Amino acid sequence: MSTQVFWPNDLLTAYKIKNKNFLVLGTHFKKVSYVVFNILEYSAKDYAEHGLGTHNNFLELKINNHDISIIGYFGEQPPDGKELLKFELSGNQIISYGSLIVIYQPPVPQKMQFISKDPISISISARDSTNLESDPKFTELLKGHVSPREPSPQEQSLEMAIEMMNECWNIRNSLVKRYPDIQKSWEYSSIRNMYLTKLSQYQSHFTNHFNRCVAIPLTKIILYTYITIRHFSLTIIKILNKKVSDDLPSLIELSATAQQIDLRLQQFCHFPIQFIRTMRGSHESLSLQIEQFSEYIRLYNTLWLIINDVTIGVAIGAFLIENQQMISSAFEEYIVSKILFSDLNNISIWLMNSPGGVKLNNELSAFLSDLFRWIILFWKLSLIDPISPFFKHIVYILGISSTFGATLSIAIFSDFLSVITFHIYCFYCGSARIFNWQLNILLSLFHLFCGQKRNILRNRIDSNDYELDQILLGTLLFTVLVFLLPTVLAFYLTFAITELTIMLVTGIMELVMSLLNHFPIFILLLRLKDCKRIPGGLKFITENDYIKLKTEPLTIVQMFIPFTNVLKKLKKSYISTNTLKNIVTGHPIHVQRNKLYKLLYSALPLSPISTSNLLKEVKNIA
Amino acid sequence: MNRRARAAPWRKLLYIQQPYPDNYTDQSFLSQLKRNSTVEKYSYWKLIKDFSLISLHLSIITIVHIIFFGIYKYNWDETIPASIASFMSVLLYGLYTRYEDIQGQRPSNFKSSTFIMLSILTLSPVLKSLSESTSSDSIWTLSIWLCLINLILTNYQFDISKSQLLNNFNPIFATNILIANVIVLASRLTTTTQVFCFILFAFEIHGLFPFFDFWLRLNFINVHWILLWSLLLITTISIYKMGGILFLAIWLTVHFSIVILSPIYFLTLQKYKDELQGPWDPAKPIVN
Repeated sequence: MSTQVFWPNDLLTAYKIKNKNFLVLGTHFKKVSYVVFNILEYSAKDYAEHGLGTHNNFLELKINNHDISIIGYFGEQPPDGKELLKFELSGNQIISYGSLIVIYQPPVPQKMQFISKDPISISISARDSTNLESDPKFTELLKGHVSPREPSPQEQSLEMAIEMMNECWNIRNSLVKRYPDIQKSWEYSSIRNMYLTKLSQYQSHFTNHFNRCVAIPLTKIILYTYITIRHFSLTIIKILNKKVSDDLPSLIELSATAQQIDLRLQQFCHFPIQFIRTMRGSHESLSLQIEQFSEYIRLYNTLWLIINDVTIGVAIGAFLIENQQMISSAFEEYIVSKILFSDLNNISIWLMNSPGGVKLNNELSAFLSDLFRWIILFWKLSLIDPISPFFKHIVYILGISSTFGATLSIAIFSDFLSVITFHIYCFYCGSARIFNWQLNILLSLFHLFCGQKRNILRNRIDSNDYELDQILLGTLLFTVLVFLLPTVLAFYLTFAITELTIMLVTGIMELVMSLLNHFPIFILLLRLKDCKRIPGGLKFITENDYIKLKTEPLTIVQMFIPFTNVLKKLKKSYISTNTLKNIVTGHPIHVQRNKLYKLLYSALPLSPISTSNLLKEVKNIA
Repeated sequence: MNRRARAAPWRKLLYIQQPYPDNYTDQSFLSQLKRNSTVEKYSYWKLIKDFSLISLHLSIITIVHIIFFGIYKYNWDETIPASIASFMSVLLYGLYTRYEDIQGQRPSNFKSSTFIMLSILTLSPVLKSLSESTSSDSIWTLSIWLCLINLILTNYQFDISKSQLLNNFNPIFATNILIANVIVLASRLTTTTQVFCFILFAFEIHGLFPFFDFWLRLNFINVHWILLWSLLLITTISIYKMGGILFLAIWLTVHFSIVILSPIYFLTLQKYKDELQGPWDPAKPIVN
């Protein structure tokens, strides 16, 4: 079994000059896999005089319980170096007998890069744990059929090796700090760095003064004001989520506006915690640092989206306020008066007079049609006529509210639509109920018609001897209901289609809202800018005769996982046989918008973090 | 095959090792087969008696339709048939309970019949408007189909036991189809009274008459024959009066072929009957 050596790619060409001796610094795991950080030139003469000399001290440097030590050499073998790996140059390629050299690119922690076996978690893990449910089940099933294989020592140490690779630059920096005269063999140094260090010195001088006089008292004031506001918003969140009883929906479930306000407040309450988490210094352990990188991505994604939202909102708001008169009159004329009033009226009159040649029962269709037209009239007189003079103001409110984000005005508009189409919803539910009852009665009377009866004890259909009076009455009712079914069906279908159209419109609005609220724009741009910040897994490839460890960036599909989940749920609740069955049997269909939408709250914890915890975190950083 | 093997007789036992090839069939294999052991030889008169019931049922259906057309087309007084049928029903019911000595059932029967009458009365405005927008032709077609299905499904058994009389003698489905037919027809009538009277009449004819007829066949067979002949006479005369000579000819041909020709055809078919029975279990074909 050969050993594995992970070699940084910036040390590949650093010592083209042959006939020189180099020491290779790195760490090893049970002498099976090695991670190289740095190489040092040494002369045999010095070595003979001082032994390893100062270099011995590298052994003091410990990171994650792994010693940094000399693991190999180029050229002459140093004394006491029998156990060290011997590296050679073959042509331009570094080789070492009995070991496999794998090239890796040291990730730069300052640039928030890192290597990771698993994809970076863009969402908070507790939320999407449900998505992975199917996978473990499958592996559980496989387990019985596959004999367990002990992972090889290289595989076992891969995770630790990845950890050390992530630490590469930290180790190099601490080496340089401790031994200022150490050679920097990597191709990194430039003149710019010198200026930058100078600059940072001045900067720190200035910030010191600034902190003492202005920043600290100001921060305290801001902190306590913030905590007061936060308490206030936590109360609002609680009110919005409050359920009066188990049967009644909470405000969030009812209204898109409440949903939007809840989202913004939760984000507001979560910001400082996210911010504090991104502020953790580099002295923290690596796993926390990586957690911090993804927190950083989440925070700035949210911030960016809010800024976008507000920008779009201001534009829309300006447009709305400028064309207030035109929009409100167009809305009243086309949507309210035409579609919602006269068109519906015409449809119900059409239904009354054998629609499309289908002969409905005159009396029943006249009754239903009259009932519906009466409801429309009532709705118009009691709701639309009083508020129609205020349409202008409603448009104005929409315009003002879009200053807080386009999503808010969309949410308000969606709620407004739901309110002014409430009569259709009522009639839809009513006709669905009637249709459902009629179907059920017809089914049991059909059993009677065939001389059968449902046996609920055994859940089957038994034959049954009915009395003559039961037969006569049952068949009488059965025939009547069969003849009335097409009429009820025609009304039910018309209102089901109308209601589904309204649901579709509000659904599209909510989709736009969710895109504005949760689009992974920051991650998409990171993918373009620096894909090492969003690792989605590892890949071993061959390149220039070396085996190279390559970080695969997160795929587009992975970035949109919350969205694909929402789309799947939407598909399940709108376009499925179950829905069709519900429509056919007359069960009203509901979409649990709240549950669906919660999937997208992936950048937020399930419940807001308490103030005491927040203060603790603030103290930690101060 | 050697001689010793020939000497041992073949036995119909699978578990014994016998010196015969697998596909060997002995002469004695079908010796226990019996043919047509349960087949009954029908007499022509008995068949005519049985087939006359079809004729009776046909007459009953025809009477209901005649009354319907009388009310629908010729504006007959709808109360007369309803009153006659109700009077007859009460009379026969009285006789039946007296004869069978089951007066105790009277209150519950009275209650249910009143209930049905009231519900017909309540529903008759609804029934009147039920098929208003549908064209008459589709209703006639529907009615004819329903009658045909009923004719096929009705139980035409002549001799029945008393227990059968007390339970349902007719398949429920057949009765229901006739009732549905009546309601479909009633929905064409113009006034609520017409609807109510016609449905009441038809319910009595379709619901109660078969029952009384069974009772009569069981106890007073001669009354049954008188009733049959008088019903046939009434329908024949009505058909002649309403439809003329052509309908009469068709009607009589149908009855002639049912009562006289069908039994002859049935008897000629009987010689093809071939029922096999033996000591084995007959295999039942499994049809999924």
